[in-house]
Amino acid sequence: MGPGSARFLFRTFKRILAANTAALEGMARMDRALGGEYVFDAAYLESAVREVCRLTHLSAYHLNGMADETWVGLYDAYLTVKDALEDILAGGMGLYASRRVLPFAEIGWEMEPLVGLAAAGLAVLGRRMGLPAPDGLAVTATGMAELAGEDREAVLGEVEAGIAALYARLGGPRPLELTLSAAGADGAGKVLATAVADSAEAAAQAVAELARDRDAEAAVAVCLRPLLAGTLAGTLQTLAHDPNLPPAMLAVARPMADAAPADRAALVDRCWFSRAAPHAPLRTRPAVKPLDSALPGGRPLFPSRGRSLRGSGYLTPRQGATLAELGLAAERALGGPCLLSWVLDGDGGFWLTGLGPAETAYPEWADEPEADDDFPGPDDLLLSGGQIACGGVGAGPVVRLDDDTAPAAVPLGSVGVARTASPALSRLVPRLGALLAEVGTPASHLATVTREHRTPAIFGLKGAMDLADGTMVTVDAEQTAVYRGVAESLLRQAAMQDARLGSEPEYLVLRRLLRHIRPLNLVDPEAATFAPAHCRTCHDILHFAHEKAVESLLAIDVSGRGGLGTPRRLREESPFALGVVDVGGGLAGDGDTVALGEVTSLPLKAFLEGLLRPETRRQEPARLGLGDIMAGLGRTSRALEAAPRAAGANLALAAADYANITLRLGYHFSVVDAVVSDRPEHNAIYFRFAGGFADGDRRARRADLLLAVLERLGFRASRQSDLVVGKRKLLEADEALNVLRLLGALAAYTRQLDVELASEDDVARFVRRFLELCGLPPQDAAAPEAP
Amino acid sequence: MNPDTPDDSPVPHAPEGAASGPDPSPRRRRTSILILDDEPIVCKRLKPFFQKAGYEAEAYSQPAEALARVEQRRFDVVITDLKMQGLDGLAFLGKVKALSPDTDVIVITGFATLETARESFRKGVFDFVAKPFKLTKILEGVRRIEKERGLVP
Repeated sequence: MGPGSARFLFRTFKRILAANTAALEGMARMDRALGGEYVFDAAYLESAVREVCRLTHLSAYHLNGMADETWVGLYDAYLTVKDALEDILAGGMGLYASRRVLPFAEIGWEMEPLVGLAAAGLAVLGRRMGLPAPDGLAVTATGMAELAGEDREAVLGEVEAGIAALYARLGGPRPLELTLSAAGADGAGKVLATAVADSAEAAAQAVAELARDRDAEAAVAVCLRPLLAGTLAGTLQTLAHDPNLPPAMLAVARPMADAAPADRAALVDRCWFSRAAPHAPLRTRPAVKPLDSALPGGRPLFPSRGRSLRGSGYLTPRQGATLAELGLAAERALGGPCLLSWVLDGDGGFWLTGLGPAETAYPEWADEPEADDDFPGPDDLLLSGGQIACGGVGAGPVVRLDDDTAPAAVPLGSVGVARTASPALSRLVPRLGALLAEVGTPASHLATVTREHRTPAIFGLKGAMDLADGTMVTVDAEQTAVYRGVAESLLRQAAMQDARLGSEPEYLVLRRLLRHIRPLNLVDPEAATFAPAHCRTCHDILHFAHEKAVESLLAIDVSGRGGLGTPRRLREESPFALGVVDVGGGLAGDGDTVALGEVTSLPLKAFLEGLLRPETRRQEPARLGLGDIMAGLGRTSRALEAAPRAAGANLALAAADYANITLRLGYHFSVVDAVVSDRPEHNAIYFRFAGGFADGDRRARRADLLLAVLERLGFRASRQSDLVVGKRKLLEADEALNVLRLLGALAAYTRQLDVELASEDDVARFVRRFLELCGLPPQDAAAPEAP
Repeated sequence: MNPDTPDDSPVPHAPEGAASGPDPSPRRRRTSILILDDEPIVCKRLKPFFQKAGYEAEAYSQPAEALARVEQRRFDVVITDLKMQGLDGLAFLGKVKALSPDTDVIVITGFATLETARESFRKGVFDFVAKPFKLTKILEGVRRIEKERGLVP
């Protein structure tokens, strides 16, 4: 057994799976520690990071073993991630520690100690998450410290150059707002001072003044961004406790013009919005507004009495809800409650202008649940069971999701419900208030993504898809329960726990570490960015290695059978001869032949059970037309030239939980590759078909038939010419075996079928007949009726 | 990790102020716990957790302070880290047992080896918990002590 042999590839693939599982479990434990489930110390952080790094490296190493060192770039990605993690553990400032000025484009979460929370937050929210936040730059803690030394002029020069570059990006000079905030490994990002400057020189001067006033011991950084004009400005506290309200967010709004600064302080509206979608206003404390003022958009105030008017609040409920959604998105990105600053521009759009730590000192918060808290009872329970993918409580309207659901179709804060916890749902997670999946486990990629976004999630929850669209539900992931309606008591209790733990130093370090470990940026294997150079986290590297390992397996070239050993011939009445090679626990007994009863490989056994079913085998001889024979002749000679030993080589590689079945029936070439174990996240079935002894139209019809059946069996399938590719992932063992039985039956049924597919109607007829033979319910009404 | 049946099986005792049989007072005496870990985060998590669960809990991150405290008064349960700056957890455990043989000790450690576990049990440790651990895990240990010592009805 050597590199490149099927046996080697399979064993290495199994090692990648094992490393992936162990790494994802380690990541899950770190996530759960962050959620307060575990008591941990600094030593745990070091050992956990070391272990996840080791497993990530192992995955990259094994993938390169499978792929003949094709992905060595993965090692570079790994080293970059590892360096960043070690730097965090050492309490360092990160890889850019020597930089004095950094534009937002170069800033990620990991640089928070260097650039402060204000700059890191705006940069990530705006550039990485696509939220409305302005471009800008940061004068780093290094830059601020060096302003006090002999390099002062050089630093100021860099600041001015950075601002000139910002002006170029913005399309011209404009006034800037400066925010001085606490930085450093222990700095929680508190805003210390703000200033405004109307030119690059003035801004550099303001930075110098902020540096002069700073405490020499404390690390500080400055965030510079354009001063935004608008009708309203204010803040949003994403978690505002009030014993008389459900979990709330507090929006403070004031007009930006029409009032002298002294009066503006009095013109402040306060509005508490529900944290739960659709973020209804819970309480408003509008300011008393003067008679001659107008609301944003020029709406006049209506008189009430005297010379003062209460009128309406500055923010409409709808605007408040939008702001609340932005706040929750920012909170998820940050990993805890926060204080956002915002501006409402003349067009009615919000801009986020600052991000600071939440006021976490809530001494008045009760540790115990309120005595009169009304927790949901058994009558309110809609579903229970499954496993916690991400703890927490979320509430919202149910929305059904699948791999093709567009983000815009998912209301922010809704409760997503999916059949399987597919990685393709990752892009929807930031929009969800909670997520339920009928199939999936806490060690799956998607579970990691839910934890990254702190989206409460339960996977493996039977009956989740039965929840009706639009039903308001509360998901209590800790209890793996779904309740009817919005259970405010549960939401309040969960929100308080988050706020208590968020600011401890170990939690800040863990959160920073996880930013390099768990985000999954590479979600689409078809995208050009699915490459080692784009792997920015351990999770990216693990996911990449997994996907590419599967691809390597699918491309196993069994025609040469290098190092495989002699296959054992299937000793059953099969529609065609089949050789089986045991690559680890796939067959029992010995000898030249093997009976179905000796097949111990679960996936192969299921496939063969389907293949050998007499009722799906079609005995009648195919009706060949002259065109078919002529087309077949050309293909015959081409096929013979290309791979003389390939034609007719039907071979299965079998392990206890794996099978790779290559069928070359005539000129059809099919591959079924399946992993079936007790871990749904590992289970996958791939199907690929090409070729056929018939003219182009008929081959295309056969491909259509296969496509129709695969889609009926729940595959994500596509067809190009007569090449059909289908994938099904994340399914439980029983279901996977059932699908394999049907694929076996399909292989027997469609043997040389294409010559009979004379018209489009035949496709529908044969699809229907096959499904009937397999006892499957009729297709969707959209399918054409057979004559 | 749970101990196999230790040779020196704990001797049931009647805690101070607790009558035998049903507790006549409306409020049962609370089980007292001293927590020692030089990592403040562990103390910050454990102390409020046990207080919320109805225990009398004190937490120390300085071994010397904890030692002074156990010399002043007896605790039903001591939860201590094994590896600390200034004082080895096993030494602390030895002193606690010398001062108050009927105090049960739970050891928590991030460096769990079979050898340290064996040594801890030899010194009379009731339970040995590897970090990171779930709060419920350590609560189970304390409840088992209460049950075996007859601290709960």
